[in-house]
Amino acid sequence: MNQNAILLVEDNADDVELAQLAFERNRITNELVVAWDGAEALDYLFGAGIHSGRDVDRLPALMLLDLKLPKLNGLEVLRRVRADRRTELMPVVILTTSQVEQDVSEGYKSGANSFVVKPLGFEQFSELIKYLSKYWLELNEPPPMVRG
Amino acid sequence: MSFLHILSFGLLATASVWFVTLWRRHKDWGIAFIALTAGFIALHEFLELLGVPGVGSPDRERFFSREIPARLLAIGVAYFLSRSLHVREQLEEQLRLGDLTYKGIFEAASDAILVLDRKSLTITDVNRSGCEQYGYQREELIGKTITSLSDEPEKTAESFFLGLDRIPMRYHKQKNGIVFPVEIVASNFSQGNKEYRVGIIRDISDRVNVSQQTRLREDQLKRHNEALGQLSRSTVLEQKGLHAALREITEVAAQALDVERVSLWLFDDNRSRLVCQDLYQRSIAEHSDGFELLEADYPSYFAALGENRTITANDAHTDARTKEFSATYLTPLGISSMLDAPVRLLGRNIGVVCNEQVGQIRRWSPEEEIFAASIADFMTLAIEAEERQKARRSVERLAEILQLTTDFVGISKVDGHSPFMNGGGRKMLGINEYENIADLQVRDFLPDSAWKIYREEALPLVMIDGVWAGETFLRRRDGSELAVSQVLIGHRNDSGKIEYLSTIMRDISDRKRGEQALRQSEERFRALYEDNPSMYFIVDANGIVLSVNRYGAEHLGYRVKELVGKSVLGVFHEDDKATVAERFQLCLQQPDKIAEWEFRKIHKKGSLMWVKEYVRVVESHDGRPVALIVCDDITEQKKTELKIQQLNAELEHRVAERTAQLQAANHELEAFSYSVSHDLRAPLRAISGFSDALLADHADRLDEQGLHYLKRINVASQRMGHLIDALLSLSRIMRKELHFSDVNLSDMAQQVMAELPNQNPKRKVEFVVQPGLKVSADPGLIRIVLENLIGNAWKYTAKREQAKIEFGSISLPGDHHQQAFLVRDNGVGFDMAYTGQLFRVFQRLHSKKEFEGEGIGLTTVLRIIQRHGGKVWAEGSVGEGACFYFTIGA
Repeated sequence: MNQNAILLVEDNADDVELAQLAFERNRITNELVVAWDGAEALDYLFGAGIHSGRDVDRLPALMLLDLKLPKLNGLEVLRRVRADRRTELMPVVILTTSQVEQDVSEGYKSGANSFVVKPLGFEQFSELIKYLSKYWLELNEPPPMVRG
Repeated sequence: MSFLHILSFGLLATASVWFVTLWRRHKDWGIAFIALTAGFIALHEFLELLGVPGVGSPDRERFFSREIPARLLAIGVAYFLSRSLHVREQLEEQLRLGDLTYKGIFEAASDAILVLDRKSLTITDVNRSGCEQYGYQREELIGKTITSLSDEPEKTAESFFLGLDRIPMRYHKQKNGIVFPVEIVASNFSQGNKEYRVGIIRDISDRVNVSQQTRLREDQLKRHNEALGQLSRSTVLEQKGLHAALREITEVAAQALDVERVSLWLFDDNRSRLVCQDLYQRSIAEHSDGFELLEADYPSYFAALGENRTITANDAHTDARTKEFSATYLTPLGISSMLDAPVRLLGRNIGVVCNEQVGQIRRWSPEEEIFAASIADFMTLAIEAEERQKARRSVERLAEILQLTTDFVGISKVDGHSPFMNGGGRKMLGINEYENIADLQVRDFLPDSAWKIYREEALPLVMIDGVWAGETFLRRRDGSELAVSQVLIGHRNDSGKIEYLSTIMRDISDRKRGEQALRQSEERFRALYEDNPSMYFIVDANGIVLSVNRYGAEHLGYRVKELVGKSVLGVFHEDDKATVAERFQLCLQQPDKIAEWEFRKIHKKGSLMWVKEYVRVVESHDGRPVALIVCDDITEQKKTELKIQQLNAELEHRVAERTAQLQAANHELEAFSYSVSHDLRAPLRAISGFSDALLADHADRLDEQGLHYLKRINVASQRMGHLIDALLSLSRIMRKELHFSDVNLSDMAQQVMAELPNQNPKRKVEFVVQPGLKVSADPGLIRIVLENLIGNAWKYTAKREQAKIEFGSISLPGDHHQQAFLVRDNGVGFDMAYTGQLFRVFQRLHSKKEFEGEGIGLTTVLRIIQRHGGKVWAEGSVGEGACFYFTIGA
């Protein structure tokens, strides 16, 4: 089981809290790092801004990326991540409320590994987190740079 | 007694001479003795007569007297003897001469004479002609039988044995085998005890030939006569015309003359060419015509024809008149002999009949020459008859025309008497056809005014010029007058004086009326032309105004005479003149085409006028091009156009503005949808999520009422989530681009129906689909329509024991018989009073308790159908099912 941090890029505090709740419920012990906007997400990954000095070699095991974000939107973040040699292979799951076809296809085009729509109910959301962690942290063989 | 002495002496002396002669011829001593005796007695008598002494004795008297009877007897005997001797001599002479004659005749005879032994019929003698006739030597013939010379031995033998004197015709043959006809005359004779038969055998070849020829000639003449007879009785000319008659003549001539080709050629007008009217070729029994012979090519032949005599060319290749045909005509056609007879008409040579022998050279007989001439005569007769017939027909036609014409044709005398008038004249005057009008006077059918014209103008002119033509009037029997045009012609007698007048009159009352009508029409058109509110110009090729209507001139502020004769360019706007001139030149190059253009003209007072002109260049009556121009003032129209253009421009601007606004609105809407999907849902998810968390983690701290409220919050937030999803889906549909393709609605409906029973397999639902319904639409969207409508039907028939859902179509009433599709069910139906609410978003006619739903399905259907340019509507009543109709396309 990959013990690297999980990077949640989410500007909505409710969603962040519900996500933390869901992680707790599912007893996921990985550190949950929250970036409140797109710029912060990139700062975290590349060790800049408030995250300067961070060991950028330690990539998150998974990035959960919302699309609608302040400053840099999710798709732009994703493109930058894929454009950088250090992060190009990092698993990224888009976790969003949007079902707009265009968003889905743009997400994949920009390099998302998966596209998941946030369900309305907490029970379903908790289930979703369970499946995601199970899959990406246990079943999926991560690229070398992501390995703990 | 002396006389007796003299007589006695004479007789005795004569007898003595006779006997001497006989003696000398026959050397018969008896005769010599008699001659001596007679001479002695004659001498004695002579001496006694002379009275010589001593000769007479005295008894001499006595002696004489006694001796007289004896003397007379002696004289008689002497005479008798001498006579008998003479006869015998004559006989002998005759015999001798006869033998010679026989021999001579025998040898000299031109006929063959054969002497035959009567029993054996062998030849014992034959004359020279006989030898020649049979071609044998005399020695060869002697001993042969007559039968061996015959070609018909039995017949010959028979006739010889029968002893016929005359054998009319037999065929004998020569040594070399040539058979020839003979005629035989035979007779018998005997010599000693031998009996002979002599035959004179004559070669009658010539006679037989001659008679054959005679017979042939007779046949020929007969044929000629028959041919001429046939032609003279022929009715072909009357019945079938000249050409058929000529064909008949050539055919008959070819048969009768026994020649291959007979043709008739006629000279052309200047006699330098012969044109074949008909050629008959007997072996193929065909006629042809049209060939030509030029005098330049055959001068000798044409010259010979000029002599007007029959050309009898036995050997046409060598005959001086025809040998020029040899290479070009005779040899290719195999013609050897020609017999060409001239055809004359009124003493003039008009052509030639050619009889042409193909094959062996032929000697034309005089009879054939005559026949050829007769044939030529027949040609003449036929041509003459045709001419006569033509003349007669033309006279008949003229007479017919004269009678049938509606014109008045009459003859009058200078004194005014009118002895003849045709039917047309009677009709014109109203005189019935039986009335005798022999005494009619010109004055009788001319009213006073016409009579004046006739006497004072027409008649004097006719007497001078011989003719007068003009318009006048007739007075009919009923007193009415008739306008006529009249031609009066004077006919002069031999001394040059005019005695008779012929007159032709035509009823021109119709024309007069027509003229009047035309005049009125012209006046009307003139008025139309002058005052019609259009400008008409007629302009010559240089642009000079030949004519302009009054309205045209006045509308431009001018008078007509101010424009006529001036250049039409003068009234155009200064800036347009060059273009007008250019376009006008183009018009001149394309006569009869209508050009149209719009230019500016300037009113005399200086105001601007827009005009539209239609220009057509035509040829005027004197052959020069003129342009007809119709010009309309379109200034008002132009102003309107300008206004419309401005309005259009404004409108376009406004549309562009609105479009931009609309686009902005659309963008906003999209942004709105986007934010709905994110931002509305985020708090909802928080409500839902935290209430869930509360329920899960802190349920033990809430009482029952609290729990209930919490559940209500949860359910409500769930429902709001559904509403948001439905709205999003609706907005997606609205923004989606349409892709049309052919859709089989029947198949699609069936697929949709097939999925429904999965939701509740226990239900009994009958699905009915009309097959083959096709439409052009966006397949994805139209499927949503069917899913919604059929899904509704499924939903609202849930309470039916036996549900029925149909998909089909109807033809709508109206001009286009548009097709409408329908989904019908036997479910709970609806109240038509609320039909207006059916398609409104979030509107529901049933409570959520009764039927699940967000109230957005029919709105989606409505939007999709609207985007397809169609309509959707519904019929139904409570408890009796519903029927939803939709159309695709306008």
